Amino acid sequence: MRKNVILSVLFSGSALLLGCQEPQAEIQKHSEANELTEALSGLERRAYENMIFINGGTFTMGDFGAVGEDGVWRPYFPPTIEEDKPHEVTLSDYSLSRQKTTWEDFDTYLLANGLEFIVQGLSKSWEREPYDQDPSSRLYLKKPAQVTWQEAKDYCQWLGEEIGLPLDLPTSAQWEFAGRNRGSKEWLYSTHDGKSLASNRELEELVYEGSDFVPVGSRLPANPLGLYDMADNGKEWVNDWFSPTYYAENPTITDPQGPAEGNKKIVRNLDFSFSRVGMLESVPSMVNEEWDSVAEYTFRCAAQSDTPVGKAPQ
Amino acid sequence: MWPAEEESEWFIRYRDEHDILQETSLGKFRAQVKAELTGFAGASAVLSAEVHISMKDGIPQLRGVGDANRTSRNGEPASVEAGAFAGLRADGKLEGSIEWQDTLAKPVAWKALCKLGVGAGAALGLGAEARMQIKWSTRTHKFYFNVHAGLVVGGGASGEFGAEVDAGAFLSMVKFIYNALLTVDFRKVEEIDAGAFEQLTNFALFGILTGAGYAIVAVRFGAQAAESIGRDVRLIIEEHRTAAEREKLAITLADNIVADIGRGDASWIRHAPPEVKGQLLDILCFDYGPTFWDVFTVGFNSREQAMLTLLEASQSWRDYEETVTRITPNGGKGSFALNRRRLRDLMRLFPALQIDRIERKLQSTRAVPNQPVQVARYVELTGNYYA
Repeated sequence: MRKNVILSVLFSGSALLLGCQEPQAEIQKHSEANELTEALSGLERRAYENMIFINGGTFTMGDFGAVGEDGVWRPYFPPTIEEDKPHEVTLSDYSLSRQKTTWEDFDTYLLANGLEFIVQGLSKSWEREPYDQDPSSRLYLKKPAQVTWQEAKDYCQWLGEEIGLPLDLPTSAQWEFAGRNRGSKEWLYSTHDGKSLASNRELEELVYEGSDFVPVGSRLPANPLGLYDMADNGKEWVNDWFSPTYYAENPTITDPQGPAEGNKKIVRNLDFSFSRVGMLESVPSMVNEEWDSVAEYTFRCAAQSDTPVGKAPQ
Repeated sequence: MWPAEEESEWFIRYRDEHDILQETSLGKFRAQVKAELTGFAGASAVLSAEVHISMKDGIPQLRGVGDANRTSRNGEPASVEAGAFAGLRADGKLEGSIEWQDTLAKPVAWKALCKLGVGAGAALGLGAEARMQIKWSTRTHKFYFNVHAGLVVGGGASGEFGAEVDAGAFLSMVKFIYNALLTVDFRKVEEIDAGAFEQLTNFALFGILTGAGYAIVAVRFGAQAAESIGRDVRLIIEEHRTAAEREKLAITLADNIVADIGRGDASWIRHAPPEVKGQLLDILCFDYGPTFWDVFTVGFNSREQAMLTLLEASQSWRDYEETVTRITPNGGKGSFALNRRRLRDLMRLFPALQIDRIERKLQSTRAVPNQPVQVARYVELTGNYYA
């Protein structure tokens, strides 16, 4: 009898505990779902707000150098002239995000798609927490996300589907046109004023004495189009495959998409210049050749549409 | 082949703590240059030209002097000179090397620092004053000496022709830069591009953290891996996630530092700027606490040795002060006083007293108004406890 009483107490106790746990788990799940919905709506609103409409046009793309005070034209160095041959490009209208994609928005994408939060090291990988609140961390939620080209591409396309816009990575030509303030030949660097940072010692010190990555849009002023971080805060992926002969093979081209195939993707925002480089997905690390060093860079999305994005639907 | 003036002295310009432009000598340099021209109408005019390297206002200049019969050789840039080199633009090719002589080194010898002539198509109308700048190319993943004419709009990316620093010259270059930076604020040397400095710092950190010598680094020069070396160094530190792992990293690093300084002239630390030494000290200091075997180390364990080695490798008070100030995770500036206390608190009494000894030694190299500052050009580790 006593045994039965004990069993009955234990049973009721466990039922009570289970009964308590179930609503709590439900509440937590519900609250997480609410948080995600809120984060998603914030992300979608920002995606609209950040899109800057850019009227297309014809411009000289490539490493075309500069005319000096003596009236003599000179190309840039290191010698890029063959690969970065100046050529005429015509672009249709498009929109480009004023900011690079932040970790906050990228983490929302991971959460919404049930993807893992993994940091890829050299010899191992490990899990991380979403929405890093530590400003000194390179994963701080306001800093630009550094991801692989495929992750960047997937993010833009997913976001496009979510908000009903044709979002993708910008093409290399779109990036350069915007970085040159609509293709201006006066814009020799992708900075806010087209000039070298060396001409502004305060800004130069700010960049070189600071961290590699800072919260987006927080260090250098925007360029006249309103775009931030085109000359700072990490190199950027664009959509195109890299080919050293592509410019030379296409002396005049409209809306270039890059070569049809390749093994390297183009990275822009190199040393504030309009050079480009092709990067492999990963290479053996210098630390240990048996370890892969995965190429991870910042990115921003573009709306591949010739109509302005407009306001976010309410 | 035209040997240039052999007595040209190479000065670099930098801004001191009061933001006033100063200059310091790197020693002598000369260029061995030959021009090769194909299919250019003005070939004969250019082939009879000379390349002169001379000094004006403390800035090294590469100057093309026109035909020997032309008279403008008085040191003033002249349009005819510019014209001679403008001819090289079309199909011309400059070949040769820049050689450098550290006048304080013994024995004194000319060393080829880098080759001229990369990218024939880009060698261009040099003629007026030109300045040399060390740059890192994100495209080619290599260092360059960029000969930069003042005539070009703006500064920075545009240049005239370049000299690629090949793998064999890497060691020379590291030492050369270090010698250049003894008494100056390292980031303010105008002849060293900020990107190049950052990359140099990454290479030195990589070398010491992994125990890799110059040769290993040189082998991978020009590869994409060189581009991501800064990120890889950061990841290797991040991978040591637990306190135990960080402690292990600190001990391994301490061993590497002691081994490195034993390499003498091939040591990274002897030629490392404060940005490197500060970051290494930050790793060494992490979660430090005397361990049980410390009782057998008679005053010094490997981390204490490594810390003192890094401090003692200071070539001047400014170098020391900058190193201690930069004991931060990314080598940025922190507080000298707080970091100094952090070092002392981590050490036991006897090693901590060595900091005072090092500081006393460096006092004579502190800048005092109206008094010459004596700078130790080469590190001498005076203690018997290291290396």
